[in-house]
Amino acid sequence: MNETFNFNRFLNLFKKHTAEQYKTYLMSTGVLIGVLILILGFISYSTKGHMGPVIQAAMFINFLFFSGTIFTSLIFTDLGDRKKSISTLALPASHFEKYLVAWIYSFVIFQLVFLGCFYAIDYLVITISNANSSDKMEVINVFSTDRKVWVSFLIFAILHSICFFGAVFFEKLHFIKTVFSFFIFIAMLCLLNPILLHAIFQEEINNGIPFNMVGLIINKEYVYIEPTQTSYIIAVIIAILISVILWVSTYFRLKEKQV
Amino acid sequence: MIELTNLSFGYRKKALLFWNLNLNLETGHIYGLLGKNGAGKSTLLKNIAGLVFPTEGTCKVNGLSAAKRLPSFLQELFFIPEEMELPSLSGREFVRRTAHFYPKFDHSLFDKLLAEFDVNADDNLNQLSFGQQKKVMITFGLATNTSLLIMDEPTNGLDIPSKVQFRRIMASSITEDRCMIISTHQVRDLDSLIDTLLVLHKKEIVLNKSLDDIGDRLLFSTSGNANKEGILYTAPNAIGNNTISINNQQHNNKVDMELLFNAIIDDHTAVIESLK
Repeated sequence: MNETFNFNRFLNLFKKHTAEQYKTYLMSTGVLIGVLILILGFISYSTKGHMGPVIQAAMFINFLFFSGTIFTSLIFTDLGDRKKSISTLALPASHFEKYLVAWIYSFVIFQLVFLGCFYAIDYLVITISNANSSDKMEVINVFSTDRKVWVSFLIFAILHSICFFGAVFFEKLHFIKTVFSFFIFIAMLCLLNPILLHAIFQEEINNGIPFNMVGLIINKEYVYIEPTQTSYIIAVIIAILISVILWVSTYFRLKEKQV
Repeated sequence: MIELTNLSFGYRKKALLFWNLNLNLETGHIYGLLGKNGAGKSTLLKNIAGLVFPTEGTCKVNGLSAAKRLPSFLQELFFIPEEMELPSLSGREFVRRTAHFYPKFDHSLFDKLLAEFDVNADDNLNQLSFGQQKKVMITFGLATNTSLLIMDEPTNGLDIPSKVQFRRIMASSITEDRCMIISTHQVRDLDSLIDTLLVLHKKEIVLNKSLDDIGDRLLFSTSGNANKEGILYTAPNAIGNNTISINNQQHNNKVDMELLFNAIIDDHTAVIESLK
């Protein structure tokens, strides 16, 4: 018997998870659709039908990050519930199969459902607003390289990996505790960044945004150093690496989960 | 079948619940695990099921380390916890979605036992009472035919007729290939059900003996019928005293588990010593 992965066992686990959770997931999708209609509809109404690509992109990114992190944080809720945790951990499937079902639902299926919902509502709102307007709006293409909205998928991967880890690591209040820990990490990073920059450049630091530009004061002159195109590639690679490391860490944390 | 070797466990390192436990449990037996509240009965069961990991020592079931929770280990184990929340599925749908994880699952046995418990397989599990949910899980656990069945306080939530049914069903379900462990603090619920008694007290398994062995060595009687020279423990009842004494004459007698348990937790070491 393969103790790590068996396709039939994985498929059975996936079907069991779907059968037990589909009502909750459908209701959550209903809430997402409702909120999207409300917010996009309101923006379109208040801008007199001029919901341009910048607003659409902002809405897409905000909703993706917010709903995605909440959904991911709740994916392992059963493990923190003592009435459900035993039956979840004692079910005869491998840790990897249990992990993979949660990952597929929270990362792959969530993004597909979100894209479907967003485009359906956005198309509907734009069509209605174009009906009585001479200035026709277009539905945004989030995969286009023009506005770099696709970067949000990369950032979502990092946010997902953080929330995925938090969902296993914390017993309760997964979302709040994960976001709180994340903000503490960011605050520490912002505090340490000037010290680190000073250690590297040995000059007075005017300002420095982590992972972005640095401002130095050299002989009373302000010098700003911006990242090159190559550095952006490095940042993208680091982002992917961080996501992978956190995803792998989540697997090992799940293996060590106790009730 | 179950081997605990020098097992120590505590939720905090400085407050161990058990220390250096050694225990072997075999198939073909129904073990009753007794202990005071907080003695660690549920925690011991969780160690055996690999749901918590020993601080020191090992726990093996059928030669497999429990803490690894491998599928081959889990498909030979079914754990019925004290508290549970079942999914929003009918009993039949739950079986359809879960039974295939247990290769020896017996569908006809599930239907038969559920009918005996008078639970409708088409009812939504989430909307059943706690006692009804427990019956479904007991039925499912028995139908899995796993070599190890662990039940933590299974009679909690069952009404009196259901407790009688439970005892009858359990007694008919034990086979030579199967080991069942039932923990409870309601000693009387184990009457005519278990064949071996385990008592967890002060971080140790102080007793691991078959009821036949206990009955051969100890006499449970009123003070009038006791072996006067060999009285080990006395507890007052409404009309006199119940006693535990040395069974020199090899009288046939039924083990009064409640009396024995009280004697052990009152630290009457003479009772335990006489059973060694």
